[in-house]
Amino acid sequence: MAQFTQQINTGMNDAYGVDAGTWWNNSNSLLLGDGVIGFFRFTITGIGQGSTIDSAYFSVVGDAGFANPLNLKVRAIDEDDTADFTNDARSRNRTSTGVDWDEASWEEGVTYTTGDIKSVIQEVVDRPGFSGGAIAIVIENDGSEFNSNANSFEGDPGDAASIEINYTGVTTTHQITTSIARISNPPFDMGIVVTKPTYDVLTDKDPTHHIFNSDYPTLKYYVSGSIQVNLAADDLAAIGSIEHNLGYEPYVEVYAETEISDKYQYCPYAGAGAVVFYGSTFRITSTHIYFYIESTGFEGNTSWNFKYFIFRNDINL
Amino acid sequence: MIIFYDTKTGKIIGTIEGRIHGKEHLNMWIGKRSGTSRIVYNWKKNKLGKYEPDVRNKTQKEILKDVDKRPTIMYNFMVDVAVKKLVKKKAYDN
Repeated sequence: MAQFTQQINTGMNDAYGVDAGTWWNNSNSLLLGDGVIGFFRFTITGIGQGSTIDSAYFSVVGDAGFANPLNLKVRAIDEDDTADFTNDARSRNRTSTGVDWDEASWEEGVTYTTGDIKSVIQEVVDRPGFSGGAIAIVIENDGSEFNSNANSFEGDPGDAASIEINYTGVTTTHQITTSIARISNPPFDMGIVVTKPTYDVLTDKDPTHHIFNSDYPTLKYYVSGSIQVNLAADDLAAIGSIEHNLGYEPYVEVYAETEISDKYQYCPYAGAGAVVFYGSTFRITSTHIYFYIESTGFEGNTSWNFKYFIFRNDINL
Repeated sequence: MIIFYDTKTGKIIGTIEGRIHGKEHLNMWIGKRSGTSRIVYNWKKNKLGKYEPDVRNKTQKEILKDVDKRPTIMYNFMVDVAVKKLVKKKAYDN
């Protein structure tokens, strides 16, 4: 079992927010309790994705307080490598796991430590994209009717908040799965694929699971999905749309479902029968993809399925 | 997977595929903003270390696993708007 400990080491790594009001990231003291949320960020080293957290504890030193109970909930920001608190962090997602932290009273100069918060840390470490980045502890109010203060880095670096994590398992800062260079029948099947942790480089062909894929030098990231456009019996044409909101016109491939269910053909696509005609196409703008269908001769309402792939431009990532 | 559906009827309008959805996916929308709702399904490791849909209901979990394998069967389902769950379409549902 290994141990990671760290004390808050910059002013932008501790902060608190007052309900929907002011965001304080340079205060000499940090409020906890009623109506406030505290944030404490630690730059993790040594704990890799997939590590088992055996125990974890978070501590602060009281700066000012009252002989009143403080009922808190300890969570973490649910991100792979959360940024510092230069900007308001209250809208960042938090872990679903929360651990109660209740103190009967609060005094200046006394160190207060949570119970074991391993379940909170484990949820972040288990994220597929976690590779030893920063973890932030979030202290929510959980029924306190009063506030108390904890020392901040700006107030006294020696009394700033700290964390202790005991763990086993992966100890590298970056876990890289097997990679392989496929050099068979060059130059037509030659390249290098490196997958993200947990994905099998030999079988996983989804570029979104790849860190690098030489098959997609400029088109390696894509979003795929489907859309159904409905045409009422009395109408000749209909339109559907997807907002991609990329701000530029991406390269897009669209496939339309043919009259054989679950079989798709490259769009634009058109067909005809004895008494029917139908066709589909699409148009790309910097914010949308529009899907058009046109048909005659069908009785009743019809539904038209499209499958789309939006390739994002690397340069804009 | 992110599913977009008609807020009133529950009819599925479109999907964004994938198991983990970040900012780029959440910034997208399918159909008109008014009258369309979405459900975001992420996947998460279970106690055995295997990834599976992050939903408690076993039936929903199985549906989402099936759809993950064959995304095009999505349109065999619709959303029960009262409970925001996927249900099999009936023959008379358009």
